[in-house]
Amino acid sequence: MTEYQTISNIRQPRPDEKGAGRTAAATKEALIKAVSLRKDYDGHLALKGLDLQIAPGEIYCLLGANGAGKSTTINLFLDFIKPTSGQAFINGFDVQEHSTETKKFLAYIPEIVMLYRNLTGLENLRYFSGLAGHDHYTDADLRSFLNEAGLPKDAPDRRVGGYSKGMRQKVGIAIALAKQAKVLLLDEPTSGLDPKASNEFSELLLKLSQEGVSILMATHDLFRAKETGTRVGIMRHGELVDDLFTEDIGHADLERLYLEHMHD
Amino acid sequence: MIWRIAQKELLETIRDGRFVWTGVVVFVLFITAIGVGAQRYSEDRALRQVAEQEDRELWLNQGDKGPHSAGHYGVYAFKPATPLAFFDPGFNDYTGTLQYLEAHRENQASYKPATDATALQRFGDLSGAMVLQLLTPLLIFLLCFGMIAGEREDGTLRQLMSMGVPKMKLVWGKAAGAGLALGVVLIPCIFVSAVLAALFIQGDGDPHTMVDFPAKLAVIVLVYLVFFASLAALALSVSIRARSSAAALTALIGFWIVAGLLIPRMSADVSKLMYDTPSAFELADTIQKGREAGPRAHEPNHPNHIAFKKKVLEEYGVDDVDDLPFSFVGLAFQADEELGFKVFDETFGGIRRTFEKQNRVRQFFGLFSPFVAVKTLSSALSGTDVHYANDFSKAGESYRRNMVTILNEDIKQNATGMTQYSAEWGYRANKSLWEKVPPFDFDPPGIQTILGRNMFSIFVLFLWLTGGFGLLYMSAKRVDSQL
Repeated sequence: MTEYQTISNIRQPRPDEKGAGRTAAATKEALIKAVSLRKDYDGHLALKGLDLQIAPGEIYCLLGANGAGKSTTINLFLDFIKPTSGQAFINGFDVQEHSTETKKFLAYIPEIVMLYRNLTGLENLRYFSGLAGHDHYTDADLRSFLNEAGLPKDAPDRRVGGYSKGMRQKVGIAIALAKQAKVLLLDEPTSGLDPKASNEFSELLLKLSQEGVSILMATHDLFRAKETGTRVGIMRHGELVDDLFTEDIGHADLERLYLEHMHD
Repeated sequence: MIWRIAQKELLETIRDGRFVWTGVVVFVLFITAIGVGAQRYSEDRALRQVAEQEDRELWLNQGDKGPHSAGHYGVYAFKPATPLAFFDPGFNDYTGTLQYLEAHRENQASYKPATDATALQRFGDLSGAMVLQLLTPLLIFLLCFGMIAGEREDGTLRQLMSMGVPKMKLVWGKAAGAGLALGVVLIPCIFVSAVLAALFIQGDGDPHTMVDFPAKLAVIVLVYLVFFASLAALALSVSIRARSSAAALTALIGFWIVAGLLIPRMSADVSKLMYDTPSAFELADTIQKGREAGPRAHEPNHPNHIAFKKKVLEEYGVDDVDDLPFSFVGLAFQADEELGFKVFDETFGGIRRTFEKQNRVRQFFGLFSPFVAVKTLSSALSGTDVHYANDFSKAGESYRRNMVTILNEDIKQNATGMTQYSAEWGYRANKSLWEKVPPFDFDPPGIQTILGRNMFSIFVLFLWLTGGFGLLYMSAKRVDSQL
């Protein structure tokens, strides 16, 4: 229980049986872990000492307004930016010390997946998975990843320049699938997707979480967070102001809670 | 991983129309320049060979006449060109193509193509070397400016870095990709120009022009490879460090203008300011003054002539020149020439040294522009630099000295017992004497001489290479600094 005290003084998980078991799972071997993670941009505190642990199979949804520190958190786990203090761990490795190694375990899907527009979807996937060390995939393997990600059958051989946002997103998912990542870092991956595509995306996340993948997802979609996430965290001004299990709260409560936090 | 990145760069570059079209333009210009150059070279060579032969025939068949008269008749020395000259005409437009060799005077090579040209032509005719020295760097800059900066703007760099690609490998992959793309343009260029060269220059087994040809060709290829590699490393470093791809392109084009166009022109002007060459009038005046003390072989009443005669008579203990065991006028001609040799050595030797000093100043500017170093080395290896022109001039002059000495010696030995007037105009030599004067022959400098003369430029080019890759190595750490 104590591990959440510093970050959640408003609402703590109830000490019921279920909650205790879940907490035990989280402490076992967190694939994603932040310890007093701080990021200071010349006086502007983007992240004020974040502590977080995400166990295998957990889908952690970070909620919060723009500028609350969600993307900063994800960028710190990617080692794209350096923390002012504190540490970020992926699969037990400090991301700063093992920048290249930790990336082997993770896949990153941003709000808009950026691809080489002069290459086809298949070529993009082949390139990225090759760089991730998976040289062994045949074209059939790669096509099946794209198919699994929901890309239309005729799309893989077309140049990405003509893809819609949703199609790019699906190539991004296929890259993550092909990478066989243990950790997914998602930065508003479904914003701008139509409800059907968004739903398919959630299904995939659930499937991956059943396979033991840890997922950290920044999102604005409270509905998806409740439906898909196992936990939600609410961030405000660089602080995690709430951290709870989705099964403990209803849709309406979550929304009210979120708005309450945003209000003051 | 490096290979995979390089392949992807090549694929993307080829699919990007901009590079393909620029590459096609460079290819067409290069083979046009090589074709025109090779044709001009083979025409010039044919003309030269005909002229050499005709001039030799004229010399041999000038009929019976006084040897000194033959000295005034003179011969022409034609500057040969090595086969690489069609690729890089270098300074050929500013150095003469033939030198008139006659008694009494050291002439400078004349018929400089530049004298008929407009000032605009100082920027150079289209040649294979110009395509490689100016246009190919532009192609390299266009190829490399967006390699990192562009991916950063497109957001693909974040995707790439999230794959766990080591920064150094990414940069080497990009560099290798640039090399591959450049190869796609340049390898056909080299292939087509080799075919063109073989077509136009076949049968050029002339051992004089072919001195160390394979070695020169190999070094020139190496020089350009080093040049291109340095520029690619520089361009990639700029692409990594620039805030945007537009800023990278602007910086690189700026560098191209300053280092590729301004500094080479400026280096020539500064070298002239530092070491000025005298005007033709000043030169003629210096030579005139220097030769005033001579025995005036043609002027029997000149005080110098009388004094010289008196000195010779005293030396041999005779009263009259007719009693000398040789022809006095032959001796006087030779004494006059020998004073001339000294004067020419001082004046023209001084000018040649000035040219060499100017050359050194120009080479120094290579520190600020690799274009200068490459231009120097390329023209030196192609036999179209100032050194080559000087070598030719010196060879012409030593041929002339040998020629007048043979002629004067003949007068001295065979015109004995003749009066001043009859020895000068009455004695006739024939073809057997003309044959004693060998045909003009010039061996272009070998590879060791050329490398020895251009150590500074070689060093400078090496400096640009290590500097470029050093900068790239340091810049590689900053690939992800603006993610």
